[in-house]
Amino acid sequence: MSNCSRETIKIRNELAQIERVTAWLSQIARCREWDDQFIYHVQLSVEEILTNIVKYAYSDAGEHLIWLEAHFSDDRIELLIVDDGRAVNPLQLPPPNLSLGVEERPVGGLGVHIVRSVMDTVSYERRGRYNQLWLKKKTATQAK
Amino acid sequence: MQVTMVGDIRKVVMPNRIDVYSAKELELAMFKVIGGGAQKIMCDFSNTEYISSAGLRVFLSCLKQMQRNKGAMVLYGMKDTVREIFDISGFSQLFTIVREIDQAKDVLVGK
Repeated sequence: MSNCSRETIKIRNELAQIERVTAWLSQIARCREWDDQFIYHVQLSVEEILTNIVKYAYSDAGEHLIWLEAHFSDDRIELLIVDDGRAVNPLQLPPPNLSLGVEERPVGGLGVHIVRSVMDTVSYERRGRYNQLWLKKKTATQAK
Repeated sequence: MQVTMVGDIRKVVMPNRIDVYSAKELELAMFKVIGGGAQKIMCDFSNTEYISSAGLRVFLSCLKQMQRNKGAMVLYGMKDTVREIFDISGFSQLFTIVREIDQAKDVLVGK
């Protein structure tokens, strides 16, 4: 990736902290040639993943840190999200059944499906006691 | 969230962002409208630029409740970027989604 920059942010495992990450992503987006839809897809994916981590990854009630690293240039972003929760590969979660009717349709379970739909690639690795998730996306138009 | 009466229809204006924070507040407000006996609801999405799965689940809960009450709910004014998330989630088949408020009224008048 040419002309690539790198930024990091650390948050605690609280839903209220996700806003800090959204603001951080907006800051990164400000100087890039990214359209609104690209920025929306990135913010949305990060909200979905962080919400799942904060709500479901920890078996204790203690404080944990979640680490985010963004590698980006004008035509792409690659985000690494690291947490020390229990090992969960989001890519192995069962996909939602989108053909069910209103009554049968469960409320929830859509987050990871949306992330996989709007990002180009999502990859997972368990390293020691850490979950490492990569989210990658290129802009629709190539940078000059 | 602003609620107004248009004839016998409750018109509810959706916020700019429907995320993990605002979803709870929206859910309480919508349940109040539905619990108050509303049979016809139209949701104005023209201000909405962001919805996450936390927001989608609110609308699915509302739709389930409205169907049990034999009521009807129509969504209108969605930006393409928001509509895309409804499409991806299979929600476009579950909900009645139209472009303009007049179409929303037409759907609800016959109910």
